[in-house]
Amino acid sequence: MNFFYLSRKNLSSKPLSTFLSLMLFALGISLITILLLLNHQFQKQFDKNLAGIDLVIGAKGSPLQLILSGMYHLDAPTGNIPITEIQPFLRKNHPLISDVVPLSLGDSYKGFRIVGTTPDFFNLYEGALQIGQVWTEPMQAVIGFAVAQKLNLQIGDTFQSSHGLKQDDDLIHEGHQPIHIIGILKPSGTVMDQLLVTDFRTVWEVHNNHHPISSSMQESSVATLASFTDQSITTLLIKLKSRNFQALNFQRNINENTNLQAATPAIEINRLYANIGLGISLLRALAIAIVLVSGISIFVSLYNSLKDRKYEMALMRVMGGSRFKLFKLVLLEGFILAGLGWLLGIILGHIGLEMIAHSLESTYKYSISGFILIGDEWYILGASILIGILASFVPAIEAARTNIHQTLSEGK
Amino acid sequence: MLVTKDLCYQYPNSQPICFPNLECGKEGSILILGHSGSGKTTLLHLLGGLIRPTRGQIMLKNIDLAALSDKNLDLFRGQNIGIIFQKPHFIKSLTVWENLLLAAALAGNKANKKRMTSLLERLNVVHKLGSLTDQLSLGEQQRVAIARALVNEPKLILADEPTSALDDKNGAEVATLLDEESKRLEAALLIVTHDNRLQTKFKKTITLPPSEMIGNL
Repeated sequence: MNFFYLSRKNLSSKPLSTFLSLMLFALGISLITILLLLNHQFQKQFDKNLAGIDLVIGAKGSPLQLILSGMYHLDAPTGNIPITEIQPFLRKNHPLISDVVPLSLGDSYKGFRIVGTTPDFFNLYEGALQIGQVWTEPMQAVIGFAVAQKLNLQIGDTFQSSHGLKQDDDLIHEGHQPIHIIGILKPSGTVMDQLLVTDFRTVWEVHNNHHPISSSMQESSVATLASFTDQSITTLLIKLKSRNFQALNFQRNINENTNLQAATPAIEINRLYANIGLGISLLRALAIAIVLVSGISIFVSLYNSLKDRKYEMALMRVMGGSRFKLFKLVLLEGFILAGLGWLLGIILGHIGLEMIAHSLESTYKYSISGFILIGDEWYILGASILIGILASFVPAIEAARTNIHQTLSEGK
Repeated sequence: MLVTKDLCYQYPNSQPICFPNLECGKEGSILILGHSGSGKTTLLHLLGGLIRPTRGQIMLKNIDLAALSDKNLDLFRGQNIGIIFQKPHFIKSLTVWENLLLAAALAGNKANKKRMTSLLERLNVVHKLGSLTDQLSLGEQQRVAIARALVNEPKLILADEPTSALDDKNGAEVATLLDEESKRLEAALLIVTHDNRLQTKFKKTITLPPSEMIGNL
C-alpha cells in the first residue's frame, strides 16, 4: 500500500469533481500547447522561407501583400510589372544586387500555385531534385514534394493551369498545351514543397495560347527574360551584395521615383507579427486564465473532500501516520491531478492541432503538424506541477493540522 | 505492560481531570466504566497517545509515551497500540483488504498477508476482503475494525464503546473476539464502556467517578 495508490483511489472515489478539475486543466494546457506549437511552426516556416531575400520588388500596393504573395505564396499578387521597367535590376553587373529571381504568379493547379521563374529559384531555397530534371524550355515543370504526394503526380504527367488561386474548373486556361512534369523536388520544409515551378515563358504562353513564344529555344535565365520587352512579370526577389546605406537608398529610390515598390521581408513580417500578436496574446491570456481557474477548482475540490475525509485523516493519524505523511498525501493528490491534466492537455493539444492542421493546410498550403514535440512543453509541465502543488498546499496543511482527539470525539 | 501514574488532563478553561492509577499486565483486560462526562474517552485518548497528559506518566513496554517526540509517538502508536472506536470508520475509497494494508504501511510494517488472512478468517469477514467498507453490515464493519486494530500485533488494545452500536448477538461476538485476540497476542486490553452487557464477560472493572467530584478533590 503506497501513498500514490491511496491518492489515486481518493481521486477516483469522487469521479465527477476529479473529472471537472482534470478537464479544465487539460483544456487550458491544450490551448497553450496549440498556441506554442503553432507559433513555433509558423516562425520556423517564415524564417526558413525568408531564404536570405533582402528585397521584393513588385507593383505598387500593400508591401505586406507583396511579401505574402511573392515569398510566402499566401496572398494574391499586387499586380504586374512590365519588363521594360525592371530592366536595370536584371543587369548582370548591377553594383548592389547579387542575385535576382523573377516570378510570374497568379495561376494555380487544383489549389496549388504555379510559379513561372528561372532555375535560380531553387538556389534560394536550397532546393534539390528528388527525381527528374530542371526544365530547359517552356511548358515543362518541376513540382514540389507535397504537391506530388497530395495530387499523386509523377514524372511524365501533365496539368493545365487555371487562372487565379482557387480551384475552379471555369477558370482553366482552355486550349493551351498541357504542361509536362519533368522533375520532382526533395522535401525542403519550405514553401517550395507546395509549388509547381515552371519556366517564366510558360505563364506567357498559357495566357496567349494562340501566339506561342517564338524564342523557346533560348535558355531559361534572367538575360533571356530581359529580352522580352513587351511582356511583364509579377515580382522580383532580390538578394543584395550587402545591406548598407546604399542599399537603403536603393530601396527608397524605387519607392519614390518609379511605379514599382520595394519591400523588405523582415520588416513586413515583423509588422505582421505585431498585428496578429495581439490576438495571440489574448488567446494565451485566456488559456492561462483557464489553467488558473482549474488550479482553483483543484483547490476547492481537495478542500471540500478534506472536510468529508476529516475523520479518515484522524484515523490515519491513529494508525501511526505522522502529520507530514498526511501533508504529503494531499499534496500528492494535487500533484497527480496536475500531472494527469498536463498529460491529457498535451495529448489533446497535439491531436487538436493535427486536426486543425488539415484545414490550415488546405487554406494556406503550409504544412503544420500536431505531432512534433518542442522543448517549451517541458516548461508547461513545470508550471503545471507548480500549480498542482500550490493548489493543494493549503488543503495539505489543513490535513496535517487535523486534531485527532477533537475529530474522533465529534465523530462518535 | 501498561502502567499509569498520577494521570491528569486539563481542558482549556476547566478543571483538570485526574484518573486512578492503572496497571494491566499481559493478557490482562480491564473494563473501564463511568457515566458520560466522566472522562472515559479522554482517558482512552491519553492511553492511545492521541493527546498528551497535563501531568503524570503512561508507561507502555517501559516507554513513557509523554516523553516521545511527536513523530516517534505516531510511529509508536501505529506499531504498539490498536484502537477500536464506537462507530467503525474506514478509508472509504479503499477495500477491506486495502484498509488493513494501509494500517500496516502507516505503522511502517510490511504486511504479513498470511496472518491478515487468518485474522479475517477468525473474525469471519474473510469473504468481504474485496468489498468497500460501506457495503458491509455494522457488525461486519466492527469486526473489520478489530482486524485493522490487530494487524500490527499491538501490545495494547484500546476499545471505545465497541459494542454500543451493535445488537446483543453482534455485541457478544465482538466482545468474545476482542477477548480471544488480545489473549492470542498477549496484549493488554482496555475497554471503555457503559454497556452493562460487557460486565459479565470482563471481571476486572474500574469505575471512573463523575468528573465534578474529581474536580473537587
